Amino acid sequence: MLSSARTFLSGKTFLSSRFISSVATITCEKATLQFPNFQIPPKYVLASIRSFPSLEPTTFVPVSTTILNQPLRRDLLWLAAVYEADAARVGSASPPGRSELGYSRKKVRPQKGTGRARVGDNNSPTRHTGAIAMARTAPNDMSSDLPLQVYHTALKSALSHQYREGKLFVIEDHCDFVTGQSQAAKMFLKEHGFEDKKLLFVLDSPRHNLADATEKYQQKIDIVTKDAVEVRDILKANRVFIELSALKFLGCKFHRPSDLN
Amino acid sequence: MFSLQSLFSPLARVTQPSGVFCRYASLLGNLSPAPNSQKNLKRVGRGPQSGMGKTSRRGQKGQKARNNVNLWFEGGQTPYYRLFPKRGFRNVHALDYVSLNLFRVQEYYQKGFLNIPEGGVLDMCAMKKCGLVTGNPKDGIKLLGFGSGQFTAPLKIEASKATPRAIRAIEKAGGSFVAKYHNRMGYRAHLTPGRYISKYGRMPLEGRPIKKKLIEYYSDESRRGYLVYEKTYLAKLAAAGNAKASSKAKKNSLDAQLEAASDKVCAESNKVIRFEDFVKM
Repeated sequence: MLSSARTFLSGKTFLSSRFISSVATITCEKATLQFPNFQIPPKYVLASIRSFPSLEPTTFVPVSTTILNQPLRRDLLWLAAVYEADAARVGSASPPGRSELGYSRKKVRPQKGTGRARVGDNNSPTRHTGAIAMARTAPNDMSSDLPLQVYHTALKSALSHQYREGKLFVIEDHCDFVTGQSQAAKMFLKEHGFEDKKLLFVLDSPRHNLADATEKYQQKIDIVTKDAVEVRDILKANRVFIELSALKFLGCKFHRPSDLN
Repeated sequence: MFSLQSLFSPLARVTQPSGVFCRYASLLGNLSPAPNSQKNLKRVGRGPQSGMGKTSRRGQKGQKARNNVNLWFEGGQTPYYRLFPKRGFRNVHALDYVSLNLFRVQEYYQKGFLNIPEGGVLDMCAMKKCGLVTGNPKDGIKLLGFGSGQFTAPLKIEASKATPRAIRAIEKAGGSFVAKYHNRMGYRAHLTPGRYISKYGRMPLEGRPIKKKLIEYYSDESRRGYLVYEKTYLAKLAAAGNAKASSKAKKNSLDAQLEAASDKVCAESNKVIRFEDFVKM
């Protein structure tokens, strides 16, 4: 039997009777060899392929469980979300340090004899109107590090979560309208009852009609290309529409040799 | 996982229950790190309430309260790192190879993981791509003979080096081995050609061994060095080129005149040629 990721990548994505039988025999063999209730965990899950914008299911594909049936890892999702939020920071804070603040360098009052506390100048960070200690100057790099494998696991976990919730729509071909008029988007949202939902479109390449038609609904609709998709995008969305080619691309990106075994 | 009916329903408007009761619309607000995985920054000198105010966890008085003391400092006693004389040396020119045993190659071959076209060469780039070698690529890949008894893959293999036992096993299985030299840059370019092409728009020229030891190694027939094959190939090319050149050589009129003149003038050697000589001619 071919390995999971290879089958997925080699384009043999459509289910065949041969595929079903091979899984069944292997399961039986192993079951008799080991424990009576032993079962090999599934190597595939089935994803419906839908046309756009009707969202009518046409067929379905087996997708490796390494991509669409990963356990929900809240801890890794948290790490990934924090990592993305850090990276998204502009870092434009530029508070004045004590050398930059405009007060004089003169000592506020004599060191001794006033009966009050010792003070330096008005720029001191200890004073209420003073400068900021350890001030920084823009641009500040706030990005943090995260091992790539952890980040990829989080992305797979997020995709799997949406899949399990039934909110992942794999689109057969281009995820695009025939026109760029906003009426198309309006009809699409109304037809499927998505008016109050947050949507995410993951595209293989930019689709101009889709972008133009949904311009009015930017608050609700997020459009990203396959290589720019983030964990937070996936989690924020109530429905995720992903082109099959984009899903394949992510499959290749997440593929690890250890997944083959 | 789901019924056929749900697969073909016109739209998964009614979402499948995930089996876990949840009160939130999005996961994003309900994420948390794994317990005890995060550590807060130690913020010292921020007032008495923090427990790290006043002396900032440095205690009262002394060198350690005022500044840092080197980790190696042993109170004036000769520190450990100066206690013993230097001994030995490190060969900075030594090359470090990733070792790859034949049983791994055999395993990948049997499972169909090698990802090379029919009759293609399993070179170091292909080895890296299919995950046969991972991690730091070092200076090259050396094939070792562990598992050579069971080696049956008829592969054309190209790597930096191979042990005699590995070479014997590969050739016995019907394959061939070539030991190929890459210099540092060439090796990186070989492993990740995309990086060099995107940066320079071309691949760097292949470097050839400069060190005597390496030239000898890659010219060695028993090591299956690539220079041996290259030499025979170049010799063939040269022979073919010479044959063509001699047959096609064509003199222009000036060359013909010069040749004729040189025959006459230079026939007698060691003689000063005078103007009269030319007149006679």
